[in-house]
Order: sequence, then structure tokens, then C-alpha cells
Amino acid sequence: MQKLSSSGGCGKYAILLFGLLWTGISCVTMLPIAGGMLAASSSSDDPASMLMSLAFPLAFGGCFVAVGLAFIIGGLRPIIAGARVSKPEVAVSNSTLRSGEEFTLDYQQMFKAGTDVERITIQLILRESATYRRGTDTVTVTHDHIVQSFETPARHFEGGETFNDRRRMIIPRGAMHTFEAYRNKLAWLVKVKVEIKGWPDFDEEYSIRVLPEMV
Amino acid sequence: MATADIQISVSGGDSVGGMMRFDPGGTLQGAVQVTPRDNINCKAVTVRLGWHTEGRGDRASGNAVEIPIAQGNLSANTPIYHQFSVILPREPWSYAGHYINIIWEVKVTIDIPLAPDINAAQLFVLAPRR
Repeated sequence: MQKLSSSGGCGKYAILLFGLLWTGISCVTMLPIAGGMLAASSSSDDPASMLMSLAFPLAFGGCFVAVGLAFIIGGLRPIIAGARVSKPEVAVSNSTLRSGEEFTLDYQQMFKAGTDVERITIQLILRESATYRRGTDTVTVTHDHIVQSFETPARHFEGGETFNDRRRMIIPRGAMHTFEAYRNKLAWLVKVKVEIKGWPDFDEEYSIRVLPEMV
Repeated sequence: MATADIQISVSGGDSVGGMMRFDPGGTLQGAVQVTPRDNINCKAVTVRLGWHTEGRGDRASGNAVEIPIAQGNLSANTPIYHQFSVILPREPWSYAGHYINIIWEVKVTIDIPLAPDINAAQLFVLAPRR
């Protein structure tokens, strides 16, 4: 069996880091402006005009802070989920596959504390990623073709209990191989999603390579 | 503006849905006939076999083979005929997806200095038999 490592692991922390930077810069910019306006308006005796002069910078800056907080929450979700479940060990019988080839996926994951799991989904996916320019922006769109999907129904896991799963998967005969070109990418992935009751979902993706060969 | 009739035919594969399908690594046999309608002074007449992407993403492309078949003066109504045989690459396979399509073609280009090129293409499918 060959162990797989999750793809896009650093991306999760990048979102958190970006959120922290964004919020920090927004606060550093907003507070002196609000302070300056407060100082200027404090010379007047009218509390209504004082409030009005503060409302605009607070509302404007508040939007930026809210965006930053959304990124922080998004970045914290996998870390929060990681407090409940450990990083899974995923292995496949063969990580370089051919079109039409079957393989076995072994999945092991330990629960750190008693956890109610609503569903565990393991999917084999062919993902199209296309990148293009729109004005001055670079946009990437993705589309997932779900080739196979397995679900484990809701159940309770005790702290220290390990979830073991073994699945037979198949790259359909004639299915496209892994392809990577300038701004166009076709990638094969195994996607795992653990839906935890009352907690953020734990999800990870693992790349596999499909060669341009038939079984 | 110079014009020409270009006919491209490919053989050696299976006919699938009105297009020829070839196995990756197989052999494509082709013939090209270029008949200029006017006298053309061209830089080159080239047969290219290659792929490109179509769809949402910016275009990516690759040339597998490039065969120059003529250059210089092409006389009006005098056909140029050229046959070729090419070992096809093993990848990428033709693909039709949601955002990405991979298209293979034999393309003939008459490269005319300081004027638009004259192009014609014949699509084919590069994919294994299912």
C-alpha cells in the first residue's frame, strides 16, 4: 500500500494568515481615522454631530474588518475540526493508475474525543480546473465529476476509537488521464468529508495520478 | 486577398460519430491538397498536427508534428499534393468536459508575409478504444 498525503494543506493556513493580515491592516487604518474624527468632533458640544462624524469611518472600516473576520473563521474551521479528529492515514494499493484500473483505498482516522458523526463520505473525483483572465482579474473555475461515492451512516465514536474503512475503487475504462497544461488541469482526487455534529466538517483531498494508458 | 482551396483527409483510424478516432501511439495517414485561386508568394505551407484546449480556461496548445510542404511562389490553379504518415503521441487524449475540451487536429497553414494566413483544419479524436 502507498500512503497518500493531502493536497492543498498549506492553503488552509494561507486563508487564516490572509484573514489575520487583512483584519490587522483594516484595524490599523481605521482606528487612527476614527480617533482623529473623534478628536475633531469632541470640540463641538453637539453629541449628535459627534456620533454622525464617527458613523461613516466605523461603518466603512467595519466592512473591511468583517471581511477579514470571515477569512479568519474560514481558516480556523479545519483547525477546530482537527481538535475532534486526528489527521487520517490514507493509503492506496497503487497511486499511479491506468484508465480502467481498480484499486483499494484504506482509510484510518482516530477520534480524539467522543464525537457524533453525521456522515463520512469518500468520493473519487475527476476535477476540471480552468483559469482565465476577466479584465484585470485571474479567475479559476472548477467542476467536479463524482465518479464514485461511498457513505458511512451516522454513528458515535468514543475518544481514542479509530475509524477504519476499505473501499474498492475503479477509474472507469476510457476515462481521461491526469492532464496539466497552461491554465487547464484535469486532476483525479479522493475526497474525504467527515461531518461532525455541532462542529465544522473535516475534509481533505488526496491526489492520485492516472496515466494515459488503458488496463 | 489571396485565397486557396485546401482539402485534408486522414485515414488509418476508426470512424466514430463522423470523426476519425486514432489510438494513442498509433499511425495517422493523411493527404493534403492545396489549390491556390491566385498566385501566392508565401513564406511556407505547413501541415501541423497538434492539440489545443477549448472551453472556459485560456487556451493551451501543443504541436506534435510540423511538416513543411512548400514555400515561395504558388501558381494559381496548380494543386500541391502531399501525403504524410505520422506516429501519434500517447497523450493528451481527446476530452470533452464541462469547462475543458481537448481537441486534436491536422491544420494546414499558408503563411503569407504581411497578410493574414490561410488556414484549414481537420479534427480527429485521439483516444483508446473503449
